[in-house]
Amino acid sequence: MARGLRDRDWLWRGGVFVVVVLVALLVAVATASGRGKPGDPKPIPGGLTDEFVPTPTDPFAHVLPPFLPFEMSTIGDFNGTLGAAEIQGTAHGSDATSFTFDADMRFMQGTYVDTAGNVQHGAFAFI
Amino acid sequence: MGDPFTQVHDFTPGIADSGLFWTVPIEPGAIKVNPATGEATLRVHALKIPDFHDVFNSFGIVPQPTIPSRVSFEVRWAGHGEAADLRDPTYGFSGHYVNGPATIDFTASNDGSGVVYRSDATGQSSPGSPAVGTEQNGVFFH
Repeated sequence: MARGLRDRDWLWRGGVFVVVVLVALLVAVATASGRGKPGDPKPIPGGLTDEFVPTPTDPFAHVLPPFLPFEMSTIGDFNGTLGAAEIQGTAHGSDATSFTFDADMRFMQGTYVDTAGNVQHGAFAFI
Repeated sequence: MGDPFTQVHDFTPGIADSGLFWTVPIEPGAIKVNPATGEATLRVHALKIPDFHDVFNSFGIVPQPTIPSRVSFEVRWAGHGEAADLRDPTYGFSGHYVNGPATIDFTASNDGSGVVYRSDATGQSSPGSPAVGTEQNGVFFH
């Protein structure tokens, strides 16, 4: 009887421990998913307002136009090489349709601090 | 930017939960760059990417279902234009850049549609001057 109580007590405590661990993991996963995974770059702090006006903080979209004098990187805490271009032209579909296109294309390659605070190296495309 | 009210395709990776905007990791070999001359090439093959249909959707303004798609592209920056040093304490970045024209070859298709859209090589232009360079921002900006 006493041993049964101890076993049940141990099982109960184990159950609490498992629940605590699961809750902790869920909190950790929820926190990580909101910030991005380790290795993921952070966005630049600036960008465009919801009226597409450049702003250095608290933007609606963390992106600025792809030409100087604007910041062309979309990655914050970044040190590397980049290229940016907005290219307009025409395109055709294999079904004989025709279109105009407007492509904002960029690359970033180098060192950055990821969402977990670790220094990383990587290559990225903005499409 | 083209007229978003008549837009029929918008191929972008979307916006990450972190706010990272339309930016995805690629293989380092996809980029060939010479920041001294401003020449660069970005080449990506068969990248799986959603078609948001229009920029209102890809900005998250009017969320709609997307279509699984894939794109291949090669962007070329010719460089050898005007060089510029820029330091912007308001936005917190600095860099050295070289201007020059840029062109793109791309194909794009919605999965299962059988229709492939291909860019025309002639008649391309840029409303702003394309640039290639080196940049430091955030904790790397001094």
